[in-house]
Amino acid sequence: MAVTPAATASSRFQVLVVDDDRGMLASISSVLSDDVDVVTCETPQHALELLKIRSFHVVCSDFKMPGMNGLELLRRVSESGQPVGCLLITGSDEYRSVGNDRHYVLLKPFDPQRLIAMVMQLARVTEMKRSVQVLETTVRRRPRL
Amino acid sequence: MRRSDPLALAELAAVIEEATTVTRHGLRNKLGSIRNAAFYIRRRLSETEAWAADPRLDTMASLLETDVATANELLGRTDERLHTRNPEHFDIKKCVLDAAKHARTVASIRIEVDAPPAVTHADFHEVAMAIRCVVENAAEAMPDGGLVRVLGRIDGGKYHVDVLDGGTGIDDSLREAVLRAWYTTKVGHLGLGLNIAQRVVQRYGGKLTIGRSPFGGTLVSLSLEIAEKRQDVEDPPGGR
Repeated sequence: MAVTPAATASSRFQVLVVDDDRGMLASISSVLSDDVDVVTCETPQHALELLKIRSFHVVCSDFKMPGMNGLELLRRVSESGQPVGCLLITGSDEYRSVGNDRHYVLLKPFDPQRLIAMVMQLARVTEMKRSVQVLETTVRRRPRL
Repeated sequence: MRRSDPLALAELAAVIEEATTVTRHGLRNKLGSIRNAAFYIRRRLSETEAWAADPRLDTMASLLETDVATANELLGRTDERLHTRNPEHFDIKKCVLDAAKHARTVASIRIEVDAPPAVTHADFHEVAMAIRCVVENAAEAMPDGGLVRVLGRIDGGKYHVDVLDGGTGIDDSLREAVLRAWYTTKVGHLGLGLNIAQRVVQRYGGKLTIGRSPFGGTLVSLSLEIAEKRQDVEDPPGGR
């Protein structure tokens, strides 16, 4: 399997972290920020607005948030048409009984190294999917001989 | 606990479960922040001379990580004695009637039930307790008394239990808040009823939704999955 080279300082992976707990946002951001560029927001609605104007490799979301739960947010992100890695980070058991969406899940309190590894892996997969999309578009546009 | 209330055990278990879940969630968030802080401190300090010079710094960071792991393990433990669920096939109509019969309402409240029979697979007492929570909530919305309608309807593979009251209704902006644990505007109430009802139906693949009642108040609808028809559906224990 071809592996995309790790992002360099000039082209770091972009990660959006969504959590209504400011302390947790700061905490996750401090763990990830050495390896990826982190943008944080406190509401799922704001996250969806950000996704309209910016591209992210990975979206990490808490589950229990006012207005929309994390599974609903990640389902909308997945259905946007753009390849984006989705990771649910939660301390709640409730996500198991809500919906059948399949996303990667990390339970709090997690091993920070595991969070970094999962985010990097998801970001690489997103990068590969985007490359495949570009290739497909190029092939389709190529004039027939 | 009243001995004559067959739903009391399910209610007590639900309150304990709710309190445990909320506490566990809050503690896991805090433990997560501590774990992340330990990781951050270790990563920053390990690049300094102080870290290399004093091995106690590494020991302290390791102890913090170990303590968080131990605390999380304790949080994950559950007492088997609290597991009172006994999923079985039963007639939802009987369950609705049972919930209405055991609803603790004042004399000025009348409860009217109209529900077709259908079979679901769940814990009878738990579902009856969830319906009762919604019925009692509807009754409390009418302090001067009135009629609570409990209507069953079948829609595809789902059975809906609609509970309607003639109270003042729930403001649209509060519909999410009233489903949060410990949210209440009533003195002497825990604010768990709707939250528990939602948790119970979600456990069995259903949903709780809040809307407007055509009678002026609130409509709370609980959905349950209809199971395949069975000939051997028996009355659950409890002497109904």
